[in-house]
Amino acid sequence: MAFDPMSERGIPLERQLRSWSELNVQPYATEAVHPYTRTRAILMNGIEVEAIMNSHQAARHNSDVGLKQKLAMVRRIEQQKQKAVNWLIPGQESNIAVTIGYEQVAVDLTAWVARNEPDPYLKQVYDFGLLEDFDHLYRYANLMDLMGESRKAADITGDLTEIIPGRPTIFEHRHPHDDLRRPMTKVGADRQSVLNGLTLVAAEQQTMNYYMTVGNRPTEPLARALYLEIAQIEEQHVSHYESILDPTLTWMENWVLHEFHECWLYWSCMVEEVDPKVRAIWELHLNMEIEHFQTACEMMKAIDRKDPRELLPDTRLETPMVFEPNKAYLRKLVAEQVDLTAWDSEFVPVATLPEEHRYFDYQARVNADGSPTEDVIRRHVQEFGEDYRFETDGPHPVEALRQGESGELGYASAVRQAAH
Amino acid sequence: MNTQPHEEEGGLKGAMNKMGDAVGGMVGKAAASTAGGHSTPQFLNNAVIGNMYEIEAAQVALERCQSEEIRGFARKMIEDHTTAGHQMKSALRMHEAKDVGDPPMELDDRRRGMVDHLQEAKAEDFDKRYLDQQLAAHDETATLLRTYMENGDNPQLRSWAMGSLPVVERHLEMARRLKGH
Repeated sequence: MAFDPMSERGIPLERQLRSWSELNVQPYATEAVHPYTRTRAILMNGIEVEAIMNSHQAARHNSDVGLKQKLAMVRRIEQQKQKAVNWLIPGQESNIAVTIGYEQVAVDLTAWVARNEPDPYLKQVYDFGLLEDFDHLYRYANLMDLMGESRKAADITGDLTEIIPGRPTIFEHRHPHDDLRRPMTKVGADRQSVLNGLTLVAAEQQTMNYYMTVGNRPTEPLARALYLEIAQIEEQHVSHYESILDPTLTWMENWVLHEFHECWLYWSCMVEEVDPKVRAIWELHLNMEIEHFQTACEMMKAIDRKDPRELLPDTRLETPMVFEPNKAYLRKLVAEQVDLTAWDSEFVPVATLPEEHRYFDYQARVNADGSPTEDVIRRHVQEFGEDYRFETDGPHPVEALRQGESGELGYASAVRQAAH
Repeated sequence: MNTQPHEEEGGLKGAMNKMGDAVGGMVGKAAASTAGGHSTPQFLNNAVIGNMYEIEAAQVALERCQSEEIRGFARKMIEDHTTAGHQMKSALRMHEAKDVGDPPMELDDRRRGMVDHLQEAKAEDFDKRYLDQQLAAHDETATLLRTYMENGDNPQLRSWAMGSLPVVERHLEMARRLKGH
């Protein structure tokens, strides 16, 4: 099943542009779609958005007219691909329903990346972020109920992903210095580590952008508040993940890696997709990306005077990224790491921080009037007698995150007492 | 660590301590630009000890210095060198640095001596002694980082040196301003 985008022939650039009607694809049927087809569409939209913004940044920082032309041509095609991918999402799915899809991406994508990360430090970086997104899914699922949606969150995610508390969002707010990690290097890092890092930067960035844009669309104050609180964590996550990328890459190296990364993910989607119509889109886009990758390699040779093989000695792709259930992995992780926070680039239990640590000042400032991510659970309990959770594998592994007789989570009363 | 001031130094002892700091600094800088900045084990050893020394020296300064400006500088040293220590700890957990060996856990004799000299300095001499040490120590560290960044063989530690060097250079500038250079 191995595939090498360096040796395959792609579609020539001049034949890649499509008409409006070709781009306006038939959306998937929201009631029938496989949840992981939805997550693949969401992920690849994020990958295209990153490709486009990276290309714009390259154009803004390079004066070479010939390079700007190549970037502009490829970027226009990436924009078309983004439309074809994002227009798979049907209009019947509300913003909150799409949000549940975004968080399922964050959970099962990050879990796959963490399980397939060869570097022990970077694995911890992913595990850390994963537990936070896991909690967001639970908070939004409760909001979805409160917004009067006819469907439950689990109708979106299927039985593939549990919806239970992770690291409570209220504790995720950290001083900005504590979201900066240790970068890998282009010469020392494993190739899979580079691919994993680029994947999470793009995915979290699109989630951040999505909440920045749609978070103010609800009229209900609690919904607006919840989106803005979680949107701030997504900004933390973009800082967290982008800081593991090598900051010394040249513009051409960065372009080559982005195109190679797109080849990997379109190939992954193609081999995993169960919907034939959607699979055809992944295959078409892969054939376009092969040409983009080879174009970027040619520009690297011409501008950096370097062989792309120095950057990517092996371009054969053998392991696809797979959306699959990660329930046991997540349960073990939440049991072992729920109490972690960050101090600079290191991860430590909150209880080990010195009393005067900036974490506590930051927490006191942003949570001064309470936390919408706590309010949403309290409101759900008030209206329905319990929180919403989709627990398929038994009670929550952390007792403090189980629901008490009052409907309140075990840790919530401590939070309330601390606030008064 | 013991941050209680030792018995204050007398005239001759004070002069010898000051000379010891200055000579030690010169030796350290010479080493930083040669083997210390080229050999990975020596770089790791010196970088980690230099970082620990900065934090310990700043803790002494917070207790003993007279000037509010220098107190602010010492607080900045603790904050920034704690970050550098965390970044090094993370770097050493990465595959890229798996063969570089273990970092030292305590100060070497030279840096322990420098901290002792700060504790022994007369109250009226403390600020000057601390700033003199800071100029020498940051000059040495900047040389160490620059040399390893350009010549070191471990990519992850080179990356750490590259990320830390601008911070250390800014510390050196701050120390120079405080010293009135």
